Amino acid sequence: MSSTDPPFGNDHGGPELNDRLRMELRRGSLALAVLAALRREEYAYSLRKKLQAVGLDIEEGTLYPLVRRLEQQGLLHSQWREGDNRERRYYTISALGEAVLQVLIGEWQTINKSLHQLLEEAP
Amino acid sequence: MNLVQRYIQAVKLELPVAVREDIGRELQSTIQDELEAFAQRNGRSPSEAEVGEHLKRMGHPVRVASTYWTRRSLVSEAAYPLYKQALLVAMSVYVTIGVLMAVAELGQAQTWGLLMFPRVLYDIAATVLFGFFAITLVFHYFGDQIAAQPYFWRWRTERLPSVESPAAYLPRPQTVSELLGNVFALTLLAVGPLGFRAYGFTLDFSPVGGVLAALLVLTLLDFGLNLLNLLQPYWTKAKLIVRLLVGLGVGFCLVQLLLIPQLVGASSTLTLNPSQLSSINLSLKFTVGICLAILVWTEGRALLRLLPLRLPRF
Repeated sequence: MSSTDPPFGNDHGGPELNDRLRMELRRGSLALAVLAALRREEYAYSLRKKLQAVGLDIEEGTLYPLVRRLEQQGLLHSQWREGDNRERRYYTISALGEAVLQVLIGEWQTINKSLHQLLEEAP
Repeated sequence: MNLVQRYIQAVKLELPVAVREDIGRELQSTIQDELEAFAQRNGRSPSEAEVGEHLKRMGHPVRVASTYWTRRSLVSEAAYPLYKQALLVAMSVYVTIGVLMAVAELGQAQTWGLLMFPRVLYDIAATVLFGFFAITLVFHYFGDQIAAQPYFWRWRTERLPSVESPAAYLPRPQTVSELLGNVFALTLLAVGPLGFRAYGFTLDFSPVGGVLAALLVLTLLDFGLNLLNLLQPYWTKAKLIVRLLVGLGVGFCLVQLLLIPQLVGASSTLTLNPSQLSSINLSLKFTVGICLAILVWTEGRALLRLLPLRLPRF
Protein backbone atom coordinates (compact mmCIF):
# COMPACT_ATOMS: atom_id res chain seq x y z
CA MET A 1 0.00 0.00 0.00
CA SER A 2 1.51 3.33 -1.02
CA SER A 3 1.24 6.48 1.08
CA THR A 4 -1.42 7.85 -1.29
CA ASP A 5 -3.69 4.83 -0.97
CA PRO A 6 -6.84 5.15 1.12
CA PRO A 7 -6.31 4.09 4.71
CA PHE A 8 -8.58 1.04 4.43
CA GLY A 9 -7.20 -1.96 2.62
CA ASN A 10 -9.31 -4.76 1.15
CA ASP A 11 -9.14 -6.64 4.44
CA HIS A 12 -11.23 -3.89 5.98
CA GLY A 13 -13.97 -3.65 3.39
CA GLY A 14 -12.08 -2.10 0.49
CA PRO A 15 -12.39 1.24 -1.27
CA GLU A 16 -16.19 1.08 -1.34
CA LEU A 17 -16.36 1.11 2.43
CA ASN A 18 -13.75 3.82 2.46
CA ASP A 19 -15.86 5.98 0.13
CA ARG A 20 -19.05 5.29 2.04
CA LEU A 21 -17.53 6.26 5.37
CA ARG A 22 -16.04 9.41 3.85
CA MET A 23 -19.44 10.29 2.38
CA GLU A 24 -21.18 9.74 5.70
CA LEU A 25 -18.61 11.87 7.49
CA ARG A 26 -19.00 14.66 4.96
CA ARG A 27 -22.79 14.48 4.66
CA GLY A 28 -23.39 15.56 8.22
CA SER A 29 -21.09 18.53 7.97
CA LEU A 30 -22.22 19.76 4.53
CA ALA A 31 -25.43 21.31 5.84
CA LEU A 32 -23.36 23.24 8.36
CA ALA A 33 -20.97 24.42 5.62
CA VAL A 34 -23.83 25.48 3.32
CA LEU A 35 -25.67 27.37 6.06
CA ALA A 36 -22.46 29.14 7.07
CA ALA A 37 -21.62 30.01 3.46
CA LEU A 38 -25.10 31.41 2.86
CA ARG A 39 -24.86 34.03 5.55
CA ARG A 40 -24.00 36.03 2.43
CA GLU A 41 -26.36 35.74 -0.51
CA GLU A 42 -25.20 33.38 -3.28
CA TYR A 43 -26.63 31.57 -6.29
CA ALA A 44 -26.06 27.83 -6.73
CA TYR A 45 -22.94 28.03 -8.90
CA SER A 46 -21.32 30.82 -6.90
CA LEU A 47 -21.99 28.88 -3.70
CA ARG A 48 -20.23 25.88 -5.16
CA LYS A 49 -17.24 28.02 -6.13
CA LYS A 50 -17.19 29.61 -2.70
CA LEU A 51 -17.07 26.22 -0.99
CA GLN A 52 -14.46 25.01 -3.48
CA ALA A 53 -12.29 28.01 -2.66
CA VAL A 54 -12.10 26.89 0.98
CA GLY A 55 -11.33 23.28 0.05
CA LEU A 56 -14.86 21.82 0.07
CA ASP A 57 -15.27 20.43 -3.43
CA ILE A 58 -18.86 19.21 -3.51
CA GLU A 59 -20.42 17.63 -6.59
CA GLU A 60 -23.36 19.41 -8.20
CA GLY A 61 -25.49 16.31 -7.64
CA THR A 62 -24.94 16.61 -3.90
CA LEU A 63 -24.88 20.35 -3.36
CA TYR A 64 -27.85 21.59 -5.39
CA PRO A 65 -30.40 19.10 -4.01
CA LEU A 66 -29.07 19.78 -0.49
CA VAL A 67 -29.64 23.53 -0.93
CA ARG A 68 -33.18 22.87 -2.09
CA ARG A 69 -33.86 20.59 0.88
CA LEU A 70 -32.57 23.21 3.32
CA GLU A 71 -34.86 25.72 1.69
CA GLN A 72 -37.85 23.37 1.97
CA GLN A 73 -37.06 22.99 5.67
CA GLY A 74 -37.27 26.76 6.04
CA LEU A 75 -33.56 27.21 6.79
CA LEU A 76 -32.93 29.23 3.63
CA HIS A 77 -34.77 31.91 1.68
CA SER A 78 -34.56 32.07 -2.08
CA GLN A 79 -35.65 34.40 -4.84
CA TRP A 80 -35.26 34.55 -8.60
CA ARG A 81 -33.54 37.75 -9.71
CA GLU A 82 -32.08 39.22 -12.84
CA GLY A 83 -28.26 39.38 -12.79
CA ASP A 84 -25.74 39.63 -15.69
CA ASN A 85 -28.64 39.76 -18.16
CA ARG A 86 -30.23 36.54 -16.98
CA GLU A 87 -32.19 35.04 -14.17
CA ARG A 88 -30.60 33.30 -11.23
CA ARG A 89 -31.96 31.95 -8.01
CA TYR A 90 -30.31 33.61 -5.01
CA TYR A 91 -30.19 31.90 -1.64
CA THR A 92 -29.63 33.34 1.81
CA ILE A 93 -29.97 31.99 5.33
CA SER A 94 -33.30 32.54 7.13
CA ALA A 95 -33.82 33.47 10.79
CA LEU A 96 -34.62 29.84 11.57
CA GLY A 97 -31.53 28.80 9.60
CA GLU A 98 -29.38 31.19 11.64
CA ALA A 99 -30.70 29.70 14.90
CA VAL A 100 -30.08 26.15 13.64
CA LEU A 101 -26.62 27.18 12.46
CA GLN A 102 -25.71 28.33 15.99
CA VAL A 103 -26.80 24.97 17.40
CA LEU A 104 -24.85 23.10 14.72
CA ILE A 105 -21.74 25.21 15.33
CA GLY A 106 -21.89 24.38 19.05
CA GLU A 107 -22.29 20.69 18.26
CA TRP A 108 -19.51 20.79 15.71
CA GLN A 109 -17.13 22.42 18.16
CA THR A 110 -17.89 19.82 20.82
CA ILE A 111 -17.34 16.95 18.38
CA ASN A 112 -14.21 18.60 17.01
CA LYS A 113 -12.76 19.05 20.49
CA SER A 114 -13.52 15.45 21.51
CA LEU A 115 -12.14 14.03 18.28
CA HIS A 116 -9.05 16.17 18.60
CA GLN A 117 -8.41 14.72 22.06
CA LEU A 118 -8.98 11.16 20.87
CA LEU A 119 -6.76 11.58 17.82
CA GLU A 120 -3.97 13.07 19.91
CA GLU A 121 -4.16 10.06 22.23
CA ALA A 122 -3.93 7.65 19.31
CA PRO A 123 -0.55 5.89 18.99
CA MET B 1 -27.51 24.67 -26.46
CA ASN B 2 -29.67 22.01 -27.98
CA LEU B 3 -27.86 19.36 -25.94
CA VAL B 4 -28.48 21.29 -22.72
CA GLN B 5 -32.18 21.63 -23.48
CA ARG B 6 -32.44 17.94 -24.22
CA TYR B 7 -30.59 17.09 -21.03
CA ILE B 8 -32.79 19.31 -18.86
CA GLN B 9 -35.91 17.94 -20.50
CA ALA B 10 -34.72 14.39 -19.76
CA VAL B 11 -34.10 15.28 -16.10
CA LYS B 12 -37.47 17.02 -15.79
CA LEU B 13 -39.31 13.95 -17.04
CA GLU B 14 -38.04 12.02 -14.00
CA LEU B 15 -39.05 14.67 -11.45
CA PRO B 16 -42.32 15.12 -9.54
CA VAL B 17 -44.67 17.36 -11.52
CA ALA B 18 -44.95 19.90 -8.70
CA VAL B 19 -41.23 20.82 -8.79
CA ARG B 20 -40.39 19.89 -12.36
CA GLU B 21 -40.37 23.38 -13.89
CA ASP B 22 -38.65 24.97 -10.90
CA ILE B 23 -35.78 22.47 -10.77
CA GLY B 24 -35.46 22.53 -14.56
CA ARG B 25 -35.17 26.32 -14.52
CA GLU B 26 -32.52 26.25 -11.81
CA LEU B 27 -30.60 23.44 -13.51
CA GLN B 28 -30.53 25.45 -16.71
CA SER B 29 -29.22 28.46 -14.84
CA THR B 30 -26.41 26.51 -13.16
CA ILE B 31 -25.38 24.71 -16.36
CA GLN B 32 -25.24 28.07 -18.08
CA ASP B 33 -23.04 29.36 -15.24
CA GLU B 34 -20.71 26.38 -15.63
CA LEU B 35 -20.45 26.90 -19.40
CA GLU B 36 -19.82 30.64 -18.99
CA ALA B 37 -17.04 29.87 -16.51
CA PHE B 38 -15.55 27.51 -19.10
CA ALA B 39 -15.69 30.27 -21.73
CA GLN B 40 -13.95 32.68 -19.34
CA ARG B 41 -11.17 30.21 -18.53
CA ASN B 42 -10.52 29.24 -22.17
CA GLY B 43 -11.33 32.50 -23.96
CA ARG B 44 -13.89 30.77 -26.18
CA SER B 45 -17.30 29.14 -25.98
CA PRO B 46 -17.33 25.39 -25.41
CA SER B 47 -17.81 23.20 -28.46
CA GLU B 48 -20.79 20.88 -28.66
CA ALA B 49 -18.54 17.94 -27.78
CA GLU B 50 -17.30 19.79 -24.68
CA VAL B 51 -20.86 20.62 -23.63
CA GLY B 52 -21.75 16.95 -24.05
CA GLU B 53 -18.74 15.97 -21.97
CA HIS B 54 -19.77 18.37 -19.21
CA LEU B 55 -23.31 16.97 -19.17
CA LYS B 56 -21.97 13.45 -19.11
CA ARG B 57 -19.86 14.34 -16.08
CA MET B 58 -22.97 15.65 -14.34
CA GLY B 59 -24.49 12.18 -14.64
CA HIS B 60 -27.34 10.33 -16.30
CA PRO B 61 -30.58 12.38 -16.19
CA VAL B 62 -32.30 9.67 -14.15
CA ARG B 63 -29.52 9.76 -11.54
CA VAL B 64 -29.51 13.55 -11.44
CA ALA B 65 -33.29 13.58 -10.97
CA SER B 66 -33.02 10.94 -8.24
CA THR B 67 -30.88 13.27 -6.10
CA TYR B 68 -33.84 15.65 -5.84
CA TRP B 69 -36.17 12.95 -4.53
CA THR B 70 -36.33 12.58 -0.79
CA ARG B 71 -35.34 9.11 0.33
CA ARG B 72 -38.38 6.94 0.90
CA SER B 73 -38.80 3.65 2.68
CA LEU B 74 -41.87 1.50 3.12
CA VAL B 75 -41.12 0.77 6.77
CA SER B 76 -39.19 3.07 9.09
CA GLU B 77 -35.99 1.90 10.78
CA ALA B 78 -37.63 2.09 14.22
CA ALA B 79 -40.43 -0.26 13.19
CA TYR B 80 -38.31 -2.63 11.09
CA PRO B 81 -37.45 -5.31 13.72
CA LEU B 82 -41.13 -5.59 14.68
CA TYR B 83 -42.13 -5.64 11.03
CA LYS B 84 -39.72 -8.52 10.40
CA GLN B 85 -41.13 -10.52 13.31
CA ALA B 86 -44.73 -9.82 12.32
CA LEU B 87 -43.92 -10.81 8.75
CA LEU B 88 -42.39 -14.09 9.86
CA VAL B 89 -45.43 -15.12 11.91
CA ALA B 90 -47.94 -13.81 9.37
CA MET B 91 -46.17 -15.48 6.45
CA SER B 92 -46.21 -18.81 8.27
CA VAL B 93 -49.94 -18.46 8.88
CA TYR B 94 -50.55 -17.40 5.27
CA VAL B 95 -48.45 -20.22 3.81
CA THR B 96 -50.31 -22.73 5.98
CA ILE B 97 -53.70 -21.31 5.00
CA GLY B 98 -52.65 -21.12 1.34
CA VAL B 99 -51.47 -24.72 1.25
CA LEU B 100 -54.51 -26.06 3.12
CA MET B 101 -56.81 -24.20 0.75
CA ALA B 102 -54.87 -25.59 -2.19
CA VAL B 103 -55.14 -29.13 -0.83
CA ALA B 104 -58.88 -28.64 -0.35
CA GLU B 105 -59.14 -27.35 -3.91
CA LEU B 106 -57.25 -30.35 -5.22
CA GLY B 107 -59.56 -32.64 -3.26
CA GLN B 108 -62.66 -31.09 -4.81
CA ALA B 109 -61.28 -31.14 -8.35
CA GLN B 110 -63.26 -33.31 -10.73
CA THR B 111 -60.50 -33.66 -13.26
CA TRP B 112 -56.73 -33.82 -12.80
CA GLY B 113 -54.72 -32.17 -15.50
CA LEU B 114 -51.18 -30.96 -16.07
CA LEU B 115 -52.20 -27.34 -15.38
CA MET B 116 -53.69 -28.20 -11.99
CA PHE B 117 -50.48 -27.97 -9.95
CA PRO B 118 -49.08 -24.74 -11.45
CA ARG B 119 -52.48 -23.17 -10.71
CA VAL B 120 -52.38 -24.42 -7.14
CA LEU B 121 -48.83 -23.07 -6.72
CA TYR B 122 -49.99 -19.75 -8.17
CA ASP B 123 -52.86 -19.64 -5.63
CA ILE B 124 -50.44 -20.27 -2.76
CA ALA B 125 -48.08 -17.55 -4.04
CA ALA B 126 -51.01 -15.12 -4.43
CA THR B 127 -52.19 -15.77 -0.85
CA VAL B 128 -48.68 -15.27 0.50
CA LEU B 129 -48.17 -12.09 -1.53
CA PHE B 130 -51.45 -10.73 -0.25
CA GLY B 131 -50.26 -11.36 3.33
CA PHE B 132 -46.94 -9.65 2.62
CA PHE B 133 -48.78 -6.69 1.15
CA ALA B 134 -51.21 -6.44 4.09
CA ILE B 135 -48.48 -6.53 6.77
CA THR B 136 -46.29 -4.06 4.86
CA LEU B 137 -49.24 -1.71 4.42
CA VAL B 138 -50.04 -1.76 8.15
CA PHE B 139 -46.40 -1.08 9.07
CA HIS B 140 -46.07 1.59 6.38
CA TYR B 141 -48.88 3.64 7.90
CA PHE B 142 -48.78 2.63 11.58
CA GLY B 143 -45.24 1.25 12.08
CA ASP B 144 -43.99 4.26 14.02
CA GLN B 145 -47.04 4.26 16.31
CA ILE B 146 -46.60 0.53 16.92
CA ALA B 147 -42.89 0.98 17.71
CA ALA B 148 -43.73 3.84 20.09
CA GLN B 149 -46.10 1.72 22.23
CA PRO B 150 -45.54 1.99 26.00
CA TYR B 151 -44.62 -1.71 26.07
CA PHE B 152 -41.26 -0.84 24.55
CA TRP B 153 -40.51 1.71 27.26
CA ARG B 154 -41.66 -0.31 30.28
CA TRP B 155 -39.50 -3.37 29.76
CA ARG B 156 -37.28 -4.74 32.53
CA THR B 157 -33.84 -6.21 32.06
CA GLU B 158 -34.48 -9.06 34.53
CA ARG B 159 -37.35 -10.34 32.36
CA LEU B 160 -35.14 -10.85 29.33
CA PRO B 161 -34.46 -14.53 28.54
CA SER B 162 -31.42 -15.94 30.32
CA VAL B 163 -28.97 -17.49 27.89
CA GLU B 164 -25.33 -18.42 28.17
CA SER B 165 -24.59 -17.43 24.61
CA PRO B 166 -26.66 -14.49 23.36
CA ALA B 167 -26.20 -15.46 19.73
CA ALA B 168 -27.92 -18.80 20.42
CA TYR B 169 -31.17 -17.06 21.33
CA LEU B 170 -34.13 -18.32 19.32
CA PRO B 171 -36.68 -15.63 18.53
CA ARG B 172 -40.15 -16.86 19.50
CA PRO B 173 -41.79 -15.75 16.21
CA GLN B 174 -39.36 -18.07 14.42
CA THR B 175 -40.35 -20.94 16.69
CA VAL B 176 -44.05 -20.15 16.14
CA SER B 177 -43.52 -20.29 12.38
CA GLU B 178 -41.78 -23.65 12.73
CA LEU B 179 -44.63 -24.95 14.90
CA LEU B 180 -47.10 -23.94 12.20
CA GLY B 181 -44.95 -25.79 9.69
CA ASN B 182 -45.10 -28.88 11.94
CA VAL B 183 -48.90 -28.65 12.22
CA PHE B 184 -49.17 -28.38 8.46
CA ALA B 185 -46.84 -31.35 7.89
CA LEU B 186 -48.72 -33.46 10.47
CA THR B 187 -52.06 -32.62 8.81
CA LEU B 188 -50.68 -33.52 5.42
CA LEU B 189 -49.15 -36.78 6.61
CA ALA B 190 -52.27 -37.84 8.50
CA VAL B 191 -54.97 -36.66 6.09
CA GLY B 192 -53.12 -36.65 2.74
CA PRO B 193 -53.04 -40.42 2.14
CA LEU B 194 -56.71 -40.74 3.20
CA GLY B 195 -57.65 -37.96 0.78
CA PHE B 196 -55.78 -39.58 -2.10
CA ARG B 197 -57.47 -42.92 -1.38
CA ALA B 198 -60.90 -41.29 -1.08
CA TYR B 199 -60.50 -39.92 -4.61
CA GLY B 200 -59.61 -43.28 -6.06
CA PHE B 201 -55.80 -43.13 -6.02
CA THR B 202 -53.71 -46.00 -4.78
CA LEU B 203 -50.62 -45.50 -2.64
CA ASP B 204 -47.99 -48.19 -2.64
CA PHE B 205 -44.97 -47.34 -0.52
CA SER B 206 -43.98 -50.95 0.01
CA PRO B 207 -40.54 -50.40 -1.62
CA VAL B 208 -39.62 -48.02 1.22
CA GLY B 209 -41.47 -49.62 4.11
CA GLY B 210 -42.91 -47.36 6.78
CA VAL B 211 -41.59 -44.09 5.40
CA LEU B 212 -44.83 -42.22 6.13
CA ALA B 213 -44.94 -43.53 9.70
CA ALA B 214 -41.29 -42.52 10.17
CA LEU B 215 -42.02 -39.04 8.84
CA LEU B 216 -44.99 -38.77 11.23
CA VAL B 217 -42.85 -39.74 14.23
CA LEU B 218 -40.02 -37.38 13.21
CA THR B 219 -42.45 -34.49 12.71
CA LEU B 220 -43.97 -35.17 16.14
CA LEU B 221 -40.45 -35.09 17.62
CA ASP B 222 -39.74 -31.80 15.91
CA PHE B 223 -43.06 -30.46 17.13
CA GLY B 224 -42.08 -31.37 20.70
CA LEU B 225 -38.69 -29.75 20.28
CA ASN B 226 -40.31 -26.56 19.00
CA LEU B 227 -42.71 -26.53 21.94
CA LEU B 228 -39.68 -26.77 24.23
CA ASN B 229 -38.01 -23.95 22.29
CA LEU B 230 -41.07 -21.84 22.90
CA LEU B 231 -40.60 -22.27 26.65
CA GLN B 232 -36.80 -22.10 26.62
CA PRO B 233 -35.94 -19.92 23.63
CA TYR B 234 -32.28 -20.82 23.15
CA TRP B 235 -30.25 -23.65 21.71
CA THR B 236 -28.46 -26.21 23.83
CA LYS B 237 -26.17 -28.93 22.51
CA ALA B 238 -28.77 -31.61 23.27
CA LYS B 239 -31.50 -29.72 21.43
CA LEU B 240 -29.18 -29.08 18.52
CA ILE B 241 -28.25 -32.76 18.26
CA VAL B 242 -31.93 -33.79 18.34
CA ARG B 243 -32.77 -31.17 15.71
CA LEU B 244 -29.98 -32.32 13.41
CA LEU B 245 -30.92 -36.00 13.82
CA VAL B 246 -34.56 -35.20 13.07
CA GLY B 247 -33.46 -33.17 10.05
CA LEU B 248 -31.28 -36.02 8.79
CA GLY B 249 -34.12 -38.51 9.33
CA VAL B 250 -36.63 -36.37 7.47
CA GLY B 251 -34.10 -35.83 4.68
CA PHE B 252 -33.52 -39.60 4.41
CA CYS B 253 -37.29 -40.25 4.21
CA LEU B 254 -37.78 -37.60 1.55
CA VAL B 255 -34.98 -39.05 -0.55
CA GLN B 256 -36.64 -42.48 -0.23
CA LEU B 257 -39.91 -40.98 -1.47
CA LEU B 258 -38.10 -39.46 -4.44
CA LEU B 259 -36.64 -42.85 -5.33
CA ILE B 260 -40.05 -44.59 -5.58
CA PRO B 261 -40.87 -44.86 -9.32
CA GLN B 262 -44.54 -44.01 -8.81
CA LEU B 263 -45.90 -42.33 -5.67
CA VAL B 264 -49.59 -42.72 -6.54
CA GLY B 265 -51.45 -45.02 -8.90
CA ALA B 266 -55.06 -45.03 -10.12
CA SER B 267 -57.62 -47.57 -8.91
CA SER B 268 -60.20 -49.02 -11.27
CA THR B 269 -62.77 -46.37 -10.18
CA LEU B 270 -60.56 -43.51 -11.37
CA THR B 271 -60.40 -42.80 -15.08
CA LEU B 272 -56.99 -41.33 -15.77
CA ASN B 273 -54.83 -41.83 -18.83
CA PRO B 274 -51.13 -42.67 -18.24
CA SER B 275 -49.89 -39.16 -19.11
CA GLN B 276 -52.25 -37.58 -16.53
CA LEU B 277 -51.08 -40.02 -13.88
CA SER B 278 -47.46 -39.39 -14.79
CA SER B 279 -47.94 -35.58 -14.52
CA ILE B 280 -49.53 -36.00 -11.06
CA ASN B 281 -46.58 -38.14 -9.94
CA LEU B 282 -44.13 -35.65 -11.39
CA SER B 283 -45.82 -32.79 -9.51
CA LEU B 284 -45.79 -34.75 -6.26
CA LYS B 285 -42.09 -35.52 -6.67
CA PHE B 286 -41.43 -31.90 -7.47
CA THR B 287 -43.17 -30.96 -4.19
CA VAL B 288 -41.10 -33.50 -2.26
CA GLY B 289 -37.99 -32.07 -3.94
CA ILE B 290 -38.92 -28.55 -2.82
CA CYS B 291 -39.41 -29.83 0.76
CA LEU B 292 -35.99 -31.47 0.60
CA ALA B 293 -34.36 -28.28 -0.71
CA ILE B 294 -35.99 -26.23 2.07
CA LEU B 295 -34.81 -28.78 4.64
CA VAL B 296 -31.21 -28.68 3.36
CA TRP B 297 -31.32 -24.88 3.39
CA THR B 298 -32.73 -24.53 6.93
CA GLU B 299 -30.57 -27.25 8.48
CA GLY B 300 -27.45 -25.96 6.71
CA ARG B 301 -28.15 -22.43 7.87
CA ALA B 302 -28.74 -23.59 11.44
CA LEU B 303 -25.50 -25.55 11.40
CA LEU B 304 -23.47 -22.65 10.00
CA ARG B 305 -24.90 -20.31 12.61
CA LEU B 306 -24.64 -22.60 15.56
CA LEU B 307 -21.52 -24.70 15.15
CA PRO B 308 -19.06 -21.90 16.00
CA LEU B 309 -20.98 -21.05 19.19
CA ARG B 310 -20.19 -22.25 22.65
CA LEU B 311 -23.53 -23.73 23.62
CA PRO B 312 -24.79 -24.79 27.02
CA ARG B 313 -24.64 -28.60 27.25
CA PHE B 314 -28.20 -29.31 28.42
